[in-house]
Order: sequence, then C-alpha cells, then structure tokens
Amino acid sequence: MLHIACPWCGLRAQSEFTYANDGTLIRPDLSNDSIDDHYNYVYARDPRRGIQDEMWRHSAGCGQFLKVRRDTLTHEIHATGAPQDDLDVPKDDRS
Amino acid sequence: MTGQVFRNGAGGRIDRTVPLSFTFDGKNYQGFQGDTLASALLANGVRVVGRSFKYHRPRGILGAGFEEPNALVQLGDGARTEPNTQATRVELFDGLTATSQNRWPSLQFDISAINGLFHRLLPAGFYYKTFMAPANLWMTYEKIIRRAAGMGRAPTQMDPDIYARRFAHCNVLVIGGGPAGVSAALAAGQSGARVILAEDNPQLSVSETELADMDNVTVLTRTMAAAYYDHNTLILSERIADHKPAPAPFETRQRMWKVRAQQVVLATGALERPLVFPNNDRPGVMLASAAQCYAADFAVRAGNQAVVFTNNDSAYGAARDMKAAGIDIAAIIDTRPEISDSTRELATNTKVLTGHAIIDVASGRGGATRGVTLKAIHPDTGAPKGSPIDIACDVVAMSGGWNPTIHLFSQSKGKIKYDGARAAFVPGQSFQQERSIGAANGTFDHEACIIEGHNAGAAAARDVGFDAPDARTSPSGIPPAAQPLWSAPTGAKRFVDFQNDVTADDIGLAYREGYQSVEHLKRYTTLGMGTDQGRTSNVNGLAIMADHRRLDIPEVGTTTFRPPFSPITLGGIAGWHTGQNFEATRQSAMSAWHEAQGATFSNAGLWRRPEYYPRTGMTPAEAVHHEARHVREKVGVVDVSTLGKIDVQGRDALEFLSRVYINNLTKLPVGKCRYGVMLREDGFVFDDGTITRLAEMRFLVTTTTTHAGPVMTHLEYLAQVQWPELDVHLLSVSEDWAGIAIAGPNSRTLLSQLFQDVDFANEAFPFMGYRETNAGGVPVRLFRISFSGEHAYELNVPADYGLNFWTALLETGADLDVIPYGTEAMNILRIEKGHVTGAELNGRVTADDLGFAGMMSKLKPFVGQVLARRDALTAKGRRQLVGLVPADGETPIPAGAQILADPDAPPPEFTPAAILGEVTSNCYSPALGHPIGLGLVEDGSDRHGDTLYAHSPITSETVAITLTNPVFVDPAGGRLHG
Amino acid sequence: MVDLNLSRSALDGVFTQGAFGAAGDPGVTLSERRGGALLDLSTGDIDATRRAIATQFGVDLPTKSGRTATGDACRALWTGPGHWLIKTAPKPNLERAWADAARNSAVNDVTHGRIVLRIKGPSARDILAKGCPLDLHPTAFPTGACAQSLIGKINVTIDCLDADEFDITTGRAYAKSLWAWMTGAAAEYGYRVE
Ligand SMILES: [Zn+2]
Repeated sequence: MLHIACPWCGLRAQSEFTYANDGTLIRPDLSNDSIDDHYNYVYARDPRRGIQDEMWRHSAGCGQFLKVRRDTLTHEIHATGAPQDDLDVPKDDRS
Repeated sequence: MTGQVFRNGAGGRIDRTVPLSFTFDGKNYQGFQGDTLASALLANGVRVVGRSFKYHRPRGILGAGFEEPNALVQLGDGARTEPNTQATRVELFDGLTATSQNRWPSLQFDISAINGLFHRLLPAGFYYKTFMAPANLWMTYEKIIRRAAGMGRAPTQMDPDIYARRFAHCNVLVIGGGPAGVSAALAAGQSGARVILAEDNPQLSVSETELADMDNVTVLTRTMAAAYYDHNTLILSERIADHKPAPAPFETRQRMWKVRAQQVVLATGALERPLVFPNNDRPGVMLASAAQCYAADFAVRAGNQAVVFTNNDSAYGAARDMKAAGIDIAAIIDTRPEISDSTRELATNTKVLTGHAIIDVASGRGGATRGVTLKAIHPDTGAPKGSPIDIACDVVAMSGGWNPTIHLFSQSKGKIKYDGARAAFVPGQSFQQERSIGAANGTFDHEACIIEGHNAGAAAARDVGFDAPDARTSPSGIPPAAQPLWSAPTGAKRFVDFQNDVTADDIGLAYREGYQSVEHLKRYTTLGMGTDQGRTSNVNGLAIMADHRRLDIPEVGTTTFRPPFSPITLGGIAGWHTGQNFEATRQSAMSAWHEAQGATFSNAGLWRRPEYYPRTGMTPAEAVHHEARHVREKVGVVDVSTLGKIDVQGRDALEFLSRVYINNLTKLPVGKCRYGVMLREDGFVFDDGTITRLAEMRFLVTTTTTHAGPVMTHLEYLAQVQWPELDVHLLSVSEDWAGIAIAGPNSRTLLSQLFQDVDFANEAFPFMGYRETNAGGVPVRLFRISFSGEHAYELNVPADYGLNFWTALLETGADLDVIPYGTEAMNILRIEKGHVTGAELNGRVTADDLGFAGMMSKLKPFVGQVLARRDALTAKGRRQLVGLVPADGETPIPAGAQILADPDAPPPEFTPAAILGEVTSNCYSPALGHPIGLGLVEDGSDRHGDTLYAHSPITSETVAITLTNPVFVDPAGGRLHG
Repeated sequence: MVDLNLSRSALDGVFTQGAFGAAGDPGVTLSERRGGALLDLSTGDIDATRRAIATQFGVDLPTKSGRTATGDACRALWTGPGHWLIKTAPKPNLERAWADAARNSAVNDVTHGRIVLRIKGPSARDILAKGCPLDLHPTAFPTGACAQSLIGKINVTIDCLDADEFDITTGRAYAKSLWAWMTGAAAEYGYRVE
C-alpha cells in the first residue's frame, strides 16, 4: 500500500512497482574475475531495520528501475531517484 | 406479547408509512423503514438475542452500533447467508430473515448453559493452557468448544452477488458524519479541495444541504472505514445493496474503496463503556447511550421501567430522553458520592442515589432482567456497605464513561496516550497526515466538536495548498467531562468482555498467574479478541489489571488496533477478481482454433497452451503418442507463440548479448540463429533459447515461455542499472508474432509449397538459418531450428495473421498428412532428443551438468562466469544429465522418482545421502516403443550403461533403470541437418 | 486457399455488438480500435531523435511522463525516458521509414502485439477507477494526458482523448481478459458494444 514517487512518472501506487534488488549494489567490473567480489555482489546483503536503499522497477508504468530510500520499520519513503542517482544529494542538485 | 408494543406512536427517524415484515428465529415480526434489526427486535419486546460464547448465558442487545458484542446474528439463508452480523448495524428490509447463532438447540433452552453451572471447568487461560498441553488433547477440546461456540455458519454455495473495488484519490478524507466530521468536510469543501466524507450510517447525523451541493465533495453513506494503511491509504467498505432483499440486476452489493488521501480527518466519535458489576450481562442491561438512541431515533422503549447506573454525567441526558419516550426511570444510581447541581437539574423529578452501586441483577423468565439490588458504596474503596435495596426494573441503562474511537488512529501508527481526566485513551502524536477531532479526540462538547471540525477541515485543506476558511476560536474553558472509572470490586460474574465471556475474576486469575502485561492478559483471557476487538472491554480490563498491579493504566499498556475496524466480507475483499477475472490469461492468435478442436489446455505462466487434440477411437495417451509418432514420420505443426521473444537493438546490442549469454556470438552473421544459454549471476543456468541476428545491430532472442518475464527483467536490470553506458534497447515482442513450429521429414516440402520464393535447399537455408519473406503481403520470419530433433522450422508472422498461416499450413499440407500437435507430444519429442526444459532447468544445474560446458566461451566475460567457477559448481559428484531406460525395457519410470544405487536401502526420504539423483522427465517414447526418461544423476556422464533404481516415495514403486546418453533419437543429428 | 492477409481481431469470438448490462441509457460505449498502426520508439539520444521526428513526421515527441503530442498524421505518447508509443496510419515499410528517420533509435512495429479498446461515455472514468490505481479525476488526468498503469492485473496504456473518452492499449494476448474485465466492470452502468 505504499505510494512510490517514480522519478519520471510521479507518485504511483505500489501495485505498479516490483521490488528488484538491493539498491546499493555495483556489479564487479567485467574484467574482475574475483570469486569473492562476485560472491559479495550476489549474496552479501546488509538489510536494515530502518532506512535502506532499494532498487525497484516501475514495472506496470514506464518500466524504469529506480532507487528507493525506504524505512523498513515505518514504511516511510524518504527519497527516490534514478538508478545512478546519489540520494544523499538533493534532487535539484543532481547532475 | 404481540406487535410492536415497545414502539411509541410518534417520534424517531423511522417511516411508519412503510411497515416491514421480518423473521427472527423463524418467528414473524414487524418493523418500520429506518429500523435496524436491533431496534425492531426491541420494539417487538425480544430481549434474548444470543447466548454467550463460553458460558452460554442468555444475552440481550447491549449497544446500538459498532460496539455491540452480543447481538450477532446469521442473516438470510442459502447462498446469501451471512454470519456474525451485528443486529445493531443491520438495516431492516421487508422479508429479512435472521437467526440467533450462538445457541444450541434453541435460545430458550440451551443445553450448553450447563457450562455456566460448571464454569470453573472453563476458567480463563483455558485455551492457553490446552495449547500448552499435548497437542492431541486440544484436538479433543476443540471439537466440543467449536460446536458449543457456534459463531455462525459460512455459506456453502457460490455467492450470487457482485462486489466491486474502486480506487479514489482526494485531498481531504473525512471519516465520520457526526457534527465534527460534517463540519470538517464543509470547511475543506469550501476551500475547493476534493473531499470524501464517509459515514457508516445510512445518513449523516446532521442534514447538511450545502455539503450535498458541492461538486468537489463526495459523501459516502453506509460506508465503513475499515483500515488505515501506509501512506494515507484507507480502505472503505460501502454497502450498496445490503439494505435490500437482493441487489437489482447488475447492481453491486458492496464496493471496497481504496482511497489515497493527502490529508485525513478522523471524526469517528466515541463509544460508551459498560460498568463492571455482578450479572451485568443480563438481557435488559444495556449501554445508556443505546437505550437513549433507541428512544430518540427509533421511538422504541428498551423496557418499561429502567434503572440508570452511571459514574458520569452523560447518562443523565440518556435518562431524560428515555423518560421522554415514556420509560419510567425508577432511579439513577450514581457511584459518585456527589454530583453537580447542573447534573442534578437534568434529573428533576427523578430519584437519584449517589454513592450507590448495583451489586446484583435479578433475572426472570428467559434470563431477562427483573430487578436490581443496590448498596451504598465506600467512597474510597468502592466496597458495598449497609443494607441492600431492591428495585424492580426491566432495563438497566449503564454508563461507565466514553472511549474515543481511536482504532483508525492507532492503525495509522499514531501514538495513543492516556488522558487521566477523561479516563480514556486519546490520540497523541500523529504519524501520518491525519487529524483526529471531536469525540474521537476526547472532545465531548457539541459546540466544541463543530469548531474543532471546522478548524481541522480548513487546516487539512490549507496544508495541501487550498485557500481554506479561517479558523474559529473555541469557547475557552470547556473542561473535559470527568469520567472516573469504576468497577464493582467483588461479586460473581462481573463481565468485562461480553463477546468472549471474560470476567473481572478472569483478569484477577491472569494477574495471579503472572500474565500481567497487556499482551499476556489478552492472550491468557482472550480479552478483546472477539470480532468487536474489545471495543467495550479494553479500558475496563486494563483498569482492573492496573488496580491489581497498583499501577496507572498507561503503565499496564495499551492495545494496538489492527484492520479491519469491524469485520468486512470476503466477497468485498475479493471484489470481482473471481472466476474468469481471478487472474488474466494470455491467449495466442490460434487459441480459439485449439478450443474448437476440443484440445485440452494447461497453463504455462498466464498462457493457456493446448496439450493435445482428441482423436476418435483413441485414449488421450494414444492421441498424444499418435501426434508424436506422426511428427517423426511425416509432419506436424505446433503453436509456439508463447515463447518469449525479445527484440534487441542498438550499437552495443552484440556487446550486451555477449555479456549475458555464455556463447561466443561475435561470429554470428546476419541471417543465422544460435542456440544460447544464459546463466544467473550465481553461476547456475537461468534460461535457454535462440539468438537470431536480424541485422547488424538487431537481434531477436527467444526465452522459454515461463521465463520470458524474469529474463526480460534481468536484461533490463543489467541494461539500465549496471551497464547504462551501453546503447541497447530491449522490447518484448512476444505477443507481436504468432509462432508456429513445423516439424517432421515433410516439413521442408510443406514450407516450399507455401513459400515458393524461398529456396529451402540445404545449402541455401541450412540448419540454424534465418530467412525473411513475404506471403500474400504478410511479412514472414522463418527460422530453421528444431526442438523435436526433426527437420524443422519455426515461422513467425504478425499475430493478427497467425490463424491464417496455421490453417494454410494445415490445408496446404493435407497431401503431406500434416497434423497439429500439442505440448504433450512436444514434450515427448524433446525428451527423445534429450533437450532440456523447465524440468531440468530447475535453478540448481550448471551448464556443465547439462553438457553445455563446451558452449561456455573462454574468450569473453559473461554473467555468471565467475561464480560458475566455484568449487561446489565444478566439483566431482555433481548431478549430470543422463537418459534413463527401464532395465526390463517396459516398466514406466515413475515421475519425480529418486534415483538410488541400492533398491533395498531404507526409504530415501530417511536417507538423503543415499539418493544419487532424480528423474526429471519421463514418458513413453513412440519412436523407441518403450518408456524413457531424463534424469540428473551424480557423475551421470560417467555412468552410462550402469543400472540404478528409480524409487517413487509417492507410489512406493522401485524400477530398475539403465543410464544412457540423453539423446535417444538421432544422436548424430542427421535429421536436423538433412 | 486461405487469405493470408486477412487481419483478425484478438477479440474474435467474444466481441458482440449490442446493448448489455443495466437497463437505461448506457454508461459507456465500448469498441475495439482497428486499422491503425502502432510503433514503439526508443532512443538513447533524445534531442537528435526529437529533432529528426519533428522534421520528418511533424510531431514534437513529448519529454514528460503523462504527455501526448499530436502531429500531422500521428500521435505520440510518452512511455518512458526516450521511449514513445506512436499511433499512426498503417503504411508499407512503416517501421523502416521511422527507423531511417530516427537514427540511433530502435523502432518496432507493434501493431500486432497490442490491442486498443475505446471506452466512451459518462461512466468511463468510474469504470476505469474500478481497476486502475491512477487518479483519474479530470483535473489530474485531463484530455490529452496518457499514463501506463494497471487495469485489474493487466498492464495498460491509457490515452485520454476527450473528457469521457479513452483508448486503452494492452498486449494482444490479454485482449480477451481485458475485454472480460471491461464488460464486467461496465455492466452495472449499462454499456453498448460497437
Ligand atoms: Zn515510472
């Protein structure tokens, strides 16, 4: 029953979105063949009781992935942005 | 007694020109338009309406609305029957039938009431303790208790009615159509904001024509706010046709509103508390506000002679209204030693006994109230003293103060606080964009409620950018109505929770046994766990526990309220996502043709796929075998439209695909296909399909039917999130193209006849070739690929033409003996060829396990490559794909069997280590004339020729099997390439 | 011999003209829009693509969610950043013509992959609101707006043509399910099928 602000489409119902992944993951470089680095990318997670960054997809909307900063305790959403956005930077200042 | 002898000739909000007939427990009664079932029953002098849950004591109507714990009835019969409805909220209609539900065999003579005599057998904590006991003991108790409890019967027939859902958005949502709510809606509406006002009753409590004239205000009556979820999402349950015998044709019975409100105003009012005193559950003992409501709104006298029992001022107003309706007020008993002069003025000419309390209620015929016994009470301890006074009466109107209805506020995660002056929990800090006003906020003064409503409605509108009317000043100095708590300190059977039969003694027992926190108290005694969620009992229960523990009420704790506020129907929750609307289905361009041929269907994701086409004189299995054999011998066509198809374009399309497939694709020329395998990031096989290079920078990749969605999401994630620098555009075109596979030795001839401008010679159109052509003006894509292992093609045409090509193939191929085949035959053909599908691609196999190691390019990085190198994924002992044949050449291989080395070993479910593998696919092979299977077996590639055992834990069969090469038919591939 | 070029509706077999549902003036008219062409256009170079399309086809591709633009012979709906659904008249080699114009873009003719249902009438917004979580109030979703969302459990693109007139686009395979949903939802208001 969340209301998620798609960075492109604006506030939309949760039913239009699909949770995709942890929002902080950066895939190891293609040239990186370290099993540990890939293992961490695939398996290591730091789920929070509180605010965490997640990756969602506006699957029944524009189809774009978006970063969602969500409080897992209260379900508040503090910020959203494009996958490459740094949510710590206010939206207007993002280049 | 017959007729509405307790109905006055004038007054009330009922329409006496519309008499209504109804039955209760099979007996006929009359009421009027505007009645509730409860008011009509009281008008007819029906006092006993149910039996209590645990002790089966006779119970009467306690309240007049949401608070009612006793008068739960089963409405209607047949498909429309509905259990557990509150008679106080059921609008009467002509022909209504209701039955009391918590009784056996009848209300008048209830065998189970014997529980009441032996009530010590069912003390508080009974359920809790029996759960702790050996589980099988509970099974025994449960049957008896459930029989005796009789909480109504669920309907056994299909619900004939239509239910709808409805999304709505507004600037300001006001819950509650009392003075505060209406005032709030009006102020918000005047600002121009979009307002929804929801009221559970059939009409607002004040008529407000200005509101009705506002286009921007939607008033929903008969609408209960059931839930307050995150982000100001509220669920409203609107009863459109419940007040009629049946909905009109096509009319919706109930509508579930899902409202997204920017601002919410909660004006949900307050509910009166009972007083806790011995035998306070006798029929005839009711809330003073309820007796007042029946008198004023329905012109119904709850009895002939009433005693009003109170600890606060509000009951004096009730006494006045009851008296005005013709009820003889024998006395007002007030627990307070003194009352104010203004209060006393309200009771002019009525006997008032302050500093007194009821210490017992006497019952007469059927258990109904016959009189009360009073005593003076000690002003500090509340202990009764002095000599008893008996007063005859048939109604006790009690008031223990008021609880603001904070359920929705609590659901919204607002912080509840205890207000000592009001002796009630009131809304504290809001968590969402919400305001509580009026009685829900502990404001009981009428004028103050209207001002509070106005100010909240205006402020809510202002907060979302509307120019709202100015705030009004509240008349200062209205003190909160003092409402001390009181309960009789001793005496038998002082009920706290009427619905769940929890007494003050039960709370004492919980205290003594150490279940003292509110959560323990609740579970130990079941206090507040009924359908009424303890509306009338929570505060009294907490107060009693606080008294035992010598703590203040807030130190004992509060209850968190959960949705729904009051029960809602399952039909309403489902809406009309039932039957064919339960979930969407996907159909190919040829679906209707398959249906017309009588094909049976199976689901693959949301798709419906034809399994086989019935043939006269053949069993289903024979028909399937016929189809499979026919493809090997002649030619067949199968609908493969459901395969996922993704169009991949862009300057970096090739680079992108190289990163996601294990295959080396750099040498794939335009006009050629390749079989491709994709791994997940964790190194296991994700999906397989074909990659076709349509143009230099354009590819078409296919996926399995069921993985089409997940693969698309995986690719989009990589393209958008991880590799945004790549110029690649992905589009699912699964539904754009109808897909038909043409397989069998005659397939080339058949296609040559249909597409005469295409050269189908091997050199011109080799295996894994791709051609585009045009037939009758329709663009056609031809792929020479094979799932069956036969010489075969797939053709794609724009979907609107799919059926044309399907029928053209069948007509053109008639001379070649072409037949359609379904997914069953397709499955046999691919097992014969050792092709894997979802059964083998189970998320736990590596490319190597399936024999695809050679495909894994060493020249480039790809998704899953690194983790596929992990020891566990490359170690010896992994289960590898093998073919299976029964050692005796005829016994079918059981589906899903475990593969063991020793047929006499203990059952594998107890010795997992003994399991060498599993049967993943099995069928009878018409081409070979015996059963075959595919399996995943430890080091299976090295075991070809070994005999092992397939054991089914389900059927307990054990079949000796020989391991083979998984490719049974044409291992050299002559048919494919020929 | 079968006419290979006969275009068949995904609603064949379920589409029946007439009046249905509650009696009285119908709340809406439902119809299938056939005969048009649909293109999916996606680009990583938005500015260049917009310039090229404006020059060639006379339409200014919208750059914001919810916006549509109408050109000489086509209508463009924003469906994502650098992504549009183009409604136009069918023409031979349509996909090629647009791809040639919009270099560095991906163009797909999706005419056959989608169906378009039209719902028109005073109850249209009420009916859509039974299954669509969007705010469909005329102030929030006016004429000329478009959105991708859900109806029931089906992904749709909604194009508001007029105050009470909408075109709903969905995947072809969902046609019968969406039709069942729409006709069922419209029954309480009464509907005509044309
Ligand atoms: Zn979006």
